[in-house]
Amino acid sequence: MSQTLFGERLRFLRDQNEMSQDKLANLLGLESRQIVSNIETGVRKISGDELIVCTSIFGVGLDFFTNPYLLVGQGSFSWRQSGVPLEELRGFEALSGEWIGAYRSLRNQLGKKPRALLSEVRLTKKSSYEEAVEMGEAVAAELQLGDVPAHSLASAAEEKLDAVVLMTDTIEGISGAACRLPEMNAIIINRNEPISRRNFDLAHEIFHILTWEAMPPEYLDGVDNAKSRVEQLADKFASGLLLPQSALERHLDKLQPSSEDFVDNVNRVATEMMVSSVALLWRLVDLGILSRQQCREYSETNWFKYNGGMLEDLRPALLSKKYLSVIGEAVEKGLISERRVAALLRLSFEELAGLFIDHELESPLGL
Amino acid sequence: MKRSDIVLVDACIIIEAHRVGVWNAMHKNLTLETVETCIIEAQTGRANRLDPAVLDAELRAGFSAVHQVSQAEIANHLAAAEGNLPVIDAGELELWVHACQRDDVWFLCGPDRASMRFGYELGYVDRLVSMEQVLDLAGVQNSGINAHYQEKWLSELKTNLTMGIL
Repeated sequence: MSQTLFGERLRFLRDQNEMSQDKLANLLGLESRQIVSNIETGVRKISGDELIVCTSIFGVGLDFFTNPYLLVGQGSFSWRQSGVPLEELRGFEALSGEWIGAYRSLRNQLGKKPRALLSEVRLTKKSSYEEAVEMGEAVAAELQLGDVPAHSLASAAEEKLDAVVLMTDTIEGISGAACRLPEMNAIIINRNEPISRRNFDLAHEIFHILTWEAMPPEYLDGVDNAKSRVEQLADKFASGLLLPQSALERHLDKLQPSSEDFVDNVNRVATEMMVSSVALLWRLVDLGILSRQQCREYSETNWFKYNGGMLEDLRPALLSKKYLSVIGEAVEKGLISERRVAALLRLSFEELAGLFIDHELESPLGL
Repeated sequence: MKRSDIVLVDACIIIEAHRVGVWNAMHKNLTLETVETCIIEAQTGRANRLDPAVLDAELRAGFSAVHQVSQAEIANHLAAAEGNLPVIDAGELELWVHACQRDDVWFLCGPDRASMRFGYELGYVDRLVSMEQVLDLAGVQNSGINAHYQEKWLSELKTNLTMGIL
């Protein structure tokens, strides 16, 4: 077990509790604060007895010190949620943070180096909504997302933006999250949301990943509350990314409000583009085809609910192929035990084996 | 390895022995020991578990000893360990922590790569035994056990560990 890990966790707890090294040395029965400093920097080994005393001093379990997958003081999250009690959110964050931490740790152990250059878009809080839409369109083009950007967005985020996109069963009220670590990005999506919502959330979180340094997102991204400037820019970016003008050109004649079967056409095109009809209506506003007033009036009808009933939904498999392939390789190499994987992901062996099949991967499980 | 030697088994071995119907023959002919968490995992684990019809008292009666491993013992073990050991689950870890504190002759039987690698990293490659070898020693026919419980699997794993392939 890495002494550096123990030291880092100890320093985190001491800082969080605003405790001096002198005080901790005293509580541990050590002669000087220098010994605490040496433990924190990994120069001196911490003993098992001292570890146990530390769990008592700081009120944490031994796992806090020994579990290498915990993101202690490292991950920054931005949660897209609505009315989730903070305590429940923190609980889910700890769980999903451990998934992300396991991926990071195992990926490193397998020698898969993170990309040195991370992508970023040149937008700031002062950028206009039009610029955000244009940037979304430009990113769709650069990522070569094609005529239906939503179709390949998750795989593009994983392959070209070096993120890991985790489809998960979140607690109620959480749509998704962006997580920033020093050497990687992760996006969490509630796989039980309708496909149109999932795609919009993914595009929204990609905005946060690409603008994190310039516009660090709020910890809580309230879906129902008044949106901040950054969140509005993220929505506009998502709109441009999922519905670029170049991809909509071939549909525009059918999307004129004066056209016959306008409602049906909006529902059909939105379904084809894998977005909600309301998202498409607002995009038509951006394109000057629909007025805001018309859009609001349409939005208040039931004509576009579930894209007029056309929205077929298939719940995606848990997590992602990229994630599972790292876990599978780590099991093959004996870096993590099968029971530990099952415990980490809260799955039975049967469910876990089925998950590898869902992602068209060979199951490494043998138990 | 002799019939009288102590064999430490993990939850997966307990479950597999019940699955193929060799548990009684196995524990009656050998000296089996385990740790408390492996018993709990075998009975309540989410990954896999025993048929609920297997009674706790009967299961425990099959062991010469079921050891409690304290948090202090785990802490001492992990604090003393060097390098990056494989990450294993609670029962597997407690079994190894217990094993490492013994100074008598023991063997550890488990079917997981990471758990076996954990023992290898600690210098106990000669103490790793397969379920097939244990059953042979007990004079029990081993038909039907899965690949990870067979001697061939463990033998290949040990070779790969020794050669640095894994």
